[in-house]
Amino acid sequence: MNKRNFLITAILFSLLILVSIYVLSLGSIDISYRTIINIIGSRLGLAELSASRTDRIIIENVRLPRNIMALLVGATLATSGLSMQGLFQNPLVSPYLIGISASASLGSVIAFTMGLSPSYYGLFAFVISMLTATIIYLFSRVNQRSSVTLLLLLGIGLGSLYSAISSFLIYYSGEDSFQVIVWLMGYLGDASWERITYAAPTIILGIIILNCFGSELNIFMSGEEEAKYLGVNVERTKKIILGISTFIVAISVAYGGLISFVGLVIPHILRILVGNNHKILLPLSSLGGALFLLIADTTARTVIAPIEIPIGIITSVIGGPFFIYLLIKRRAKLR
Amino acid sequence: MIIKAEKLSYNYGQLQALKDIDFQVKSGELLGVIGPNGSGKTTLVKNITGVLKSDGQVYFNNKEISLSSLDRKSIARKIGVVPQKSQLKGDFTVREVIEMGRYPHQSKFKKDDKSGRKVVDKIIDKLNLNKFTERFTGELSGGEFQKVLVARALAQEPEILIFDEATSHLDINHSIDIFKLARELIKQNQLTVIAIIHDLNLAAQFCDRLMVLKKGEKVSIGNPEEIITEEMLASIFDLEALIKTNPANKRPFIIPVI
Repeated sequence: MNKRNFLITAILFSLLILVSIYVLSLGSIDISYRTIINIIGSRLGLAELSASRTDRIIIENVRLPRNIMALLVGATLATSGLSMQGLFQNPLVSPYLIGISASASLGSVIAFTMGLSPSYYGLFAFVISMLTATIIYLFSRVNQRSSVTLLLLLGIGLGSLYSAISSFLIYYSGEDSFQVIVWLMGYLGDASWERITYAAPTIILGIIILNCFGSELNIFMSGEEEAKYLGVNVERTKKIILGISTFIVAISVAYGGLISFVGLVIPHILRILVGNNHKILLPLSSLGGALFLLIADTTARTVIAPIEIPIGIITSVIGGPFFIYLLIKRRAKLR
Repeated sequence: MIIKAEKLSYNYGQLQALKDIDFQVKSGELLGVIGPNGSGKTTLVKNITGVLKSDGQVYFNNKEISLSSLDRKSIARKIGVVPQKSQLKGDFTVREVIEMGRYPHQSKFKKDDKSGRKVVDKIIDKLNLNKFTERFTGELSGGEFQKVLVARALAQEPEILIFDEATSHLDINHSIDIFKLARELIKQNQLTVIAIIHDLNLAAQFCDRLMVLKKGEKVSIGNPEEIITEEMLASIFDLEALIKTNPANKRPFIIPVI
């Protein structure tokens, strides 16, 4: 790692810590830093608890778990987005493109139509996403290798079919569908310590494993044939990266709903900053995605408090124009 | 011999691309493979590197090791391939690209930072790439980039280097440079080179032996003097030409009759 990259990593990491503490103070009730530090310190056994009970409950049981969930989901989306872009040698791919978003939506809409409570939305989303990913992968296998084109196209094809079914179900259920619509726009407000204990171990392990594949992803930038000549076991690498990415994205969708554009925007910004070396891009994406989603979620819950804006709207409002900006730049390069 | 192929055959669906090809290469040899388009040259490379699974067998080191028993990393430590044109996308520095060649010597739990750096530094010195190391590959000329690809393949520390039409889109000077480099490397470290070559004169000047392919079959193999004949050019390449002797190195030299 050279000096510049080390500096960027260090800055991003310190920023993440500072922002994490800062946003704890924001919300419909203002809580001072002194109180926040006192609460955290007393938990770590470093100080005598002096904060009020209400403040402590807000920090410990509401804001802290929610922020941690935002960090986990953000890191997941950016890391898996980058991994898939590298795998498909296409900077516009995201985990959502290969049908995960549509299958997750369908899952939650089915759970809603069956009259189940919102806590089941995630479970259904997870199951259908994993099922779809498996079908797509098996379909794309021809002669013991997987065709990237088949994989992407089937993902898009199934995705549009799923969206149609979801739309029909939502339309059919009429005015009661508000809850599921909110969920489809991304919502981290249900975060709790219990949910974090389910989600965190798998997500963190998945992100760490993906972070170990920097060399392979670099070599993949030369295409699959050259990757084989350089000694990469291409099919196994594809299976691992696709499998883990899909798995952790499905989990993050299960706990945070659909949050688009993080997987696309964060890797792009970082590529502009540090180039294409995935050994550095991967850890930076994990940090950057976490930071971005934490800021987006804080904006979502504070900007017109006490009303919350679904977080997917915030990320898309930032992501959409940024995406168009990238296209304009690319167009300029083509001329 | 360092590599021996027995009865290599390969079909793309109905199309038979290789038919029962036998050949062997001695350690330290430069074998040229020539033939018209569609004669199976590139398919041959994919078969002896195990990228395509052929019927037939490939053996290394006096038949001690068979290709089918090796995983991709072991193959990459034995054979390095320099492609005609790398598909490499994105901005990587020359050093980063060359370091990719160290991949078969690394594992998830064992990096080879120190020894790997030494190997890469040595190759950079040998190929005179010192002033390019921190440049991005997009800024290089075709000839310079091709040298970087040779360096990347050498970083694998292979016993066999394959040029898959590695000089086809280079001008004559850069092509000669690359083949001079190949000869030098063979002399210095017992490397063996198999080169797929389109330019028949280049093949005749630099190779120890030539193998001629047509429609997936081996037509002949031998010294350039035996192989490059007016009859061969007429029957294989459908080319009317005169064969002269290059006064500088006594190799056959082809002058097409136009």
